[in-house]
Amino acid sequence: MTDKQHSVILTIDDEKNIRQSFRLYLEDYNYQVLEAEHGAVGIEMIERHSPDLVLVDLRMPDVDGLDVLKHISESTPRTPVIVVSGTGVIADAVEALRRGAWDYLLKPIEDMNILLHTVETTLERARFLDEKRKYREHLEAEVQERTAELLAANTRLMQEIEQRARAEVSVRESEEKLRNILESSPFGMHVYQLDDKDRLLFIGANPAADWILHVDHSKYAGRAIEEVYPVLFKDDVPPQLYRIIAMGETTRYEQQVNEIAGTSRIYDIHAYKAAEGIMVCNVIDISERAKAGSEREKLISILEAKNAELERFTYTVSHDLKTPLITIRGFLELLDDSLIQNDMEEARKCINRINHAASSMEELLRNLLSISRIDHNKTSLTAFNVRTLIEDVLELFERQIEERGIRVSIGDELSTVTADRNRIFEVYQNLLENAIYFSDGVPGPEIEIGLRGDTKRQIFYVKDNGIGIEPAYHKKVFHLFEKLDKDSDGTGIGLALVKRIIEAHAGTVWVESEGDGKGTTICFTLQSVKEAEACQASEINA
Amino acid sequence: MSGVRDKRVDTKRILLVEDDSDHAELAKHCLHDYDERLVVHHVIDGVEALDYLRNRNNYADPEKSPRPHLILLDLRMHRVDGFEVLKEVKGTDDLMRIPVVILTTSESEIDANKAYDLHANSFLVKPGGYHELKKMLIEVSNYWLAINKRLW
Repeated sequence: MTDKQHSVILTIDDEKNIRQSFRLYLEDYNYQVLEAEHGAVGIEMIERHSPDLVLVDLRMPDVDGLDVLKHISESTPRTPVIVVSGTGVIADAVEALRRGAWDYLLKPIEDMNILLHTVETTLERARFLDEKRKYREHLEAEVQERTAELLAANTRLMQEIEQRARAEVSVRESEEKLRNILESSPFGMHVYQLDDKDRLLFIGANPAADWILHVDHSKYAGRAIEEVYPVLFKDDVPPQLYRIIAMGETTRYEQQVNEIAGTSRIYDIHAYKAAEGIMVCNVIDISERAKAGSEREKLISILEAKNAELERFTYTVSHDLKTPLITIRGFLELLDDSLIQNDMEEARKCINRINHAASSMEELLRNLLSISRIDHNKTSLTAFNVRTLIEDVLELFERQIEERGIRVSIGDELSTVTADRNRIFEVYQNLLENAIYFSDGVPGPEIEIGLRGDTKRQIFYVKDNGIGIEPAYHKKVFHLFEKLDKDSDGTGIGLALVKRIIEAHAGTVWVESEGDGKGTTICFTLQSVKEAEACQASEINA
Repeated sequence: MSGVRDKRVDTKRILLVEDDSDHAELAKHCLHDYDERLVVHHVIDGVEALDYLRNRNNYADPEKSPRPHLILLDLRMHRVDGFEVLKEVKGTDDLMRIPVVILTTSESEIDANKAYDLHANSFLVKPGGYHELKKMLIEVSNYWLAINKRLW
């Protein structure tokens, strides 16, 4: 042990030979030995040399061993002290031990080995105690350091917690703001999330979605989209929904949903990717808008049809009015020529032609007037007996019917209807005029006027067994100025007029005929009485 | 058919397609005043016109219904109208060389354009008086039947 060589031992004894014997002996074991001949010098040397061990005699004049011991225990308590006392005073040694001595030796020391052993043991113990002290001090420093670190960490943690708490509050506030926005939005919103099995899971919906779709969405949270809407996705979830999440595509489409009541609603659905793995569907109920749109479309198509008819009308009117005019002027000049040539026969022919053209012009004007009145005058509905009305119409054609031997039958089922009487009169007048005209030359001409169908849909008809109408012309006959028979004296307005009147009564009119020689039936329906009254009432209110 | 060039070699024939009998009468009157030898075949609509030109139904006999040198064609007719006749004539190999003159009351530009697009040879609007009509028909007949080289 190296520090044993350098250990400094102070021996304090008033007996010189003892000091010397200690020194000589211990120096052999590489100790450095200092000597002090009495207590005061000893104390001085202790202070100056800080010895590693002190051997002190108890009984010394003036400052004795106990005084030295007292000094050491007060100033350098870690310095080990071994007291050396005479045999007779062992009680002193015990007292010294009590006061802080580490060990004691009894004089005379017969075996110096005991001295060496005691010194070595004490030094060993001092070193051990020193290390233990150092270790403890080190440990305390460590503990202090760690405690400081812990305190710092704790402070940081506290700050972090505080920051987090603040952040949480602001997150909660902004979350609440967002939720308020979502919940007060009039647009329905659905949120879906793609799970690890590539299913679209329904996460939630806002209140608007609930009342727009009449579905309590809360019970579907966490379910796959095809379970939430089994009807819409009964076959498969369309791949474009997955593409929205995978590639950030958006899709917008209209979806018609049939309701239990038999009605249906139309939704505008706008689906987009809102975040990674999140799809949002906005839903707006556009049923009303779609309805308004389709009503507008309907109005537009009605207007277009009216416009097309008007174009055809002006085109035809100019032609059809010009035609008799050309005839009149042409034959007037020819009449002039024939009068110059005194050709009375030719003149008569010209006058006849002029007459004929003039009356066809008159007829055309009369019909034009009558057709234009349908749009200008509102229909005035009354309840009347159709059978009586038909009998009145037939009176107009009495002579022709008699001359041509036409058999006319009126169905008993014809009774009261609610409609515009004057208009319905015109309808039957035109239909019977046609029926009589086209029955001409047919053997055993017959005209049947009746009613068929059920209470839901009553079909009025006028049937003849005349020349018939080829199916290709069944629609064309109702066009204004459309005459299928070139020899006909008609203006081509009759059936167009009938069509307008029937449509003004919210009914429809059509032709049934198998063609050439197979006879013709013209059929029409009228708005039911209830509907007519409702219509009338709403017009009055308006 | 262009080979049919026989005893009627000097007979000039016009096919008049007109659904208004008064107008047809006026036109025939004019043409007779112009040349009594002129043969005018009057048919009353597009169906009959095509029957005549193709020698079908009532016009099956080519002797009685020979190929005309000029067609005077009204536009507004029932069943088959003038445009359809024009399209048919100008789209058929052995009919397309027959000059077709539209004679109509229509002053519509749309009708005129449509007629020319379908290769009508002329578009005439019927004038108001007889003498004017006569002058017009004489000129047009003279142009197509005398001035132009006749091919059959």
